[in-house]
Amino acid sequence: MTVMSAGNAKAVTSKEGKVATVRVGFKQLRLENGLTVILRKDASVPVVAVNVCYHVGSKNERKGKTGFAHLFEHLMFEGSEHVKKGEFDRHVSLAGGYNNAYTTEDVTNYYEVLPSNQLGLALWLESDRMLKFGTTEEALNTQREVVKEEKRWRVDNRPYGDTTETLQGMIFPTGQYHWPVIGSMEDLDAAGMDDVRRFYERYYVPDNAVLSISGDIDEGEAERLVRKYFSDIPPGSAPVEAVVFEDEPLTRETTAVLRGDVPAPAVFAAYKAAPEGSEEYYELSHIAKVLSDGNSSRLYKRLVYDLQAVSEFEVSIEGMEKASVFLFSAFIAPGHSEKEVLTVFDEEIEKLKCSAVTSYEFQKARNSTLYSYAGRLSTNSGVADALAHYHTIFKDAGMINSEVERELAVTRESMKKTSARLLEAGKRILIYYFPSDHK
Amino acid sequence: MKVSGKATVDRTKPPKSGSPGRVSFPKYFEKKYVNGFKIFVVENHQLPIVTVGFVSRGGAAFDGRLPGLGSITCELLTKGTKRRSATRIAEEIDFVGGALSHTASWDASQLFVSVLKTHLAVGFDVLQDVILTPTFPPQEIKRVKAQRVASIQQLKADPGYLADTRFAAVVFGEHPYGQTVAGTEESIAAMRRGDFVLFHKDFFTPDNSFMVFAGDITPKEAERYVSKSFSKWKGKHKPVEIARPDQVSLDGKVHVANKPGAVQSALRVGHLGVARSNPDYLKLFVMNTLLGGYFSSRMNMNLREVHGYTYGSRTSFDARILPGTFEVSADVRNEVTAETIDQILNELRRIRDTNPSKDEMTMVKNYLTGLFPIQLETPQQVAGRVVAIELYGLPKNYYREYREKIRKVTAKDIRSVARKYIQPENIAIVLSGAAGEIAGKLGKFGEVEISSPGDGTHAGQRNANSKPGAEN
Repeated sequence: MTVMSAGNAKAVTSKEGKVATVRVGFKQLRLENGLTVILRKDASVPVVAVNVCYHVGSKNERKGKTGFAHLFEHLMFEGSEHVKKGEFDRHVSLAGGYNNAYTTEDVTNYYEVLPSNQLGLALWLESDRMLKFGTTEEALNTQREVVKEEKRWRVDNRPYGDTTETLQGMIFPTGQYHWPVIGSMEDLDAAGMDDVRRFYERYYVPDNAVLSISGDIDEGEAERLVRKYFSDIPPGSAPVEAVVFEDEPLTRETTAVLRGDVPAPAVFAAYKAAPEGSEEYYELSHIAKVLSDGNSSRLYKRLVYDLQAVSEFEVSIEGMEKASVFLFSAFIAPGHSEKEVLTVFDEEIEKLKCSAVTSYEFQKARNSTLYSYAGRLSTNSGVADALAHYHTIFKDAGMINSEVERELAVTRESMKKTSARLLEAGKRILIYYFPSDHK
Repeated sequence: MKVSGKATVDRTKPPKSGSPGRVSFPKYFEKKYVNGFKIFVVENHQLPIVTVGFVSRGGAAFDGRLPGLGSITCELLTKGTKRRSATRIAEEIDFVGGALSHTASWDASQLFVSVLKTHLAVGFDVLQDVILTPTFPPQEIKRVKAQRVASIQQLKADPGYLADTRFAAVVFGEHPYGQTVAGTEESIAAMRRGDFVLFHKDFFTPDNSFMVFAGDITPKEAERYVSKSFSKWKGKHKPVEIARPDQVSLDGKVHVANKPGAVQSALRVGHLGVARSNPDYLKLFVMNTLLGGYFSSRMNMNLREVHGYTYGSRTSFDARILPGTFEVSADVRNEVTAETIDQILNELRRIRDTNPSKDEMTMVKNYLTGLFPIQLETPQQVAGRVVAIELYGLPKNYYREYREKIRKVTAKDIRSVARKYIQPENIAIVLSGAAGEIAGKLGKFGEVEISSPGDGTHAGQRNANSKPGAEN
């Protein structure tokens, strides 16, 4: 057992002088079967959040078997050895809590939020589905339909809904990020019980998971309960191999044109960068803020305020374990064109390359960073999720406290260099989306 | 490899829970000034963040002949004051890394500022400035109107929006609730500067507004801020009467907002609901949760877990100052549209015809009482409840007695409020979807009336709330 740090939350003063952020104290241990356990006590409300993060996502899939990690997430609620189909949600509701799960390219995450006296229940439920495969053919058939409905709702029946999928396929022309998390209808149809069982046996093992608990707990009692329910779960028969990530750099600008039942043209420009947590990632996060954060941002002033050329726009950075995507998206206002909007965007990118942002803009981005880090810690479920995430991706739950300083290490000069190096038109993906009857 | 030396765990049944922690609704500070303005302070120093929410009782219900008026007025407040231009307001708020936001609902227009404690002076100064001395500059009006029209055009492509707006129009007819919070292209074009000035003058007055501070702040600090601004605010609100919506006699038709090529039908089935002040509200809330207000509800279990028709379905009573809607919503694939409507109607009849089981009652009551402290984790969540008490005139001890009252609801109560407030035989069936593919099977529910989104569909605001058991 390793104690990384302990103690209750206390305010610390950061380099910003007066601006305080809050430090999260936690205790971390590893069971003999390889399960990492993180405990954080916060007694302010009689609530506990339990989070189990399996290090498996769509990047562990392969072509022809896509959508598995996510389909599996649905199946994990459909019964295990001692918890019959439909019972999982019932137990949680009966205890006065709620639960849910999500799947990304990199992880599958399950969580329960309950009154704190129900910690044992959450651990019983989570350990039972980690212990033994319990899915039935019937559950698979129903959940396959539910997932297909989810895909129709999220993607097929939503204006511009297929953009993300197209973009992801283009910006990752090969490799494990090429396909969308939700998978394809054909692959979902082809998913059989054998596939499902193999997937479970390989990835749903304690040595591929993190259990984090945040809330009104007694740490000693919580540890005892964790050991009681989790320590006899056998580890995987072989260690889960790290994904050998495949990808090709982009060498030219690639354009796609989509058409569909949408009210106005839209344009998307995407650039590939280093993963979440890299210096590049934090620099791009600052750059995105300067370009689009708030009504005083550079692009808001030009595209919305001066030109009225877009109904909505955003610049964002999505970080993943092996890469990140810097994305500009804009929905064109009546009387304007996608070309005009893209030209403005390109001009603003050029400016970032030629001269550093002003010290005023820079401070603004830093203040926004401080504010958003402070706000993330407001709920136990947010803290439990962050702890599990940082351990799964970085093997360092302490990043819950240190990440803000990594992000604040960005300088005006490093932002300029990164813009010049990464935001190249010759290495990007462009997508134009037009109404079916457009031109 | 098995780890040895471990006592066997009994996994056959769930462990017994420990003794429950003490749950109480946090105490908060309240003060009324001579001009009628009220403030509330929810003090919580865990995080160095302060949120200040300003609430005017001038909601979209008072938009009159200009749907969207309240909402656009609220947005325009942030676009220029006597001391600050729109650009300057944005610069100041953005610089401190905070957020200034505005939202309009049927019952209220609200503005919020949220900042790190160290920046509260700036944040509060901007907030009081935009509320007390807005100037409605003509060039900003032009911008905001154009922006709003563009976003309404975007919304019109959304199947959920089309279904919601059609549903509101069918249920409320000519009543203001049949209109839309965001406005329509026509109403926005017709708005003049004087309309905004007047709306602000009439509804943003000290006796028609209040303010809630939440987070890292003491009552003393809050009072200091207010004493320099809102406590000296002048203005008098002249009450405006709005007729209570009547159950318009539904035409028995199935209304389809046609969206050729859609692969799902966005279904909305329901009718007139209740006012927030209805004495049956809490019983209704429990009944609705059991019926379709949480994951383990009857509707979701039936449509999602048994039939696999949908990713999720829910039922809700949108209780406002005046009676709002009761609705069942689900997005389902084209082929099962008619089957889903059958199942929905079956569930609505079942909840009226038989008492829920003991098991269902235990589950829903445990769920709601357990969830209560989970929904009070942040000072902002607590502030939201304080707003509800004040806005809807709920008893001061409403949330202190909330859990006890829920525990007392009986199976008989559920059936009786279901019989009183759910009418499956006189219900609006509305959907947005591919009429060509689905209309054929809908005739058994009534005459099918197909409209295309272009032709005068009333617009309304989507009231999607995915948070568990949310209750206002």
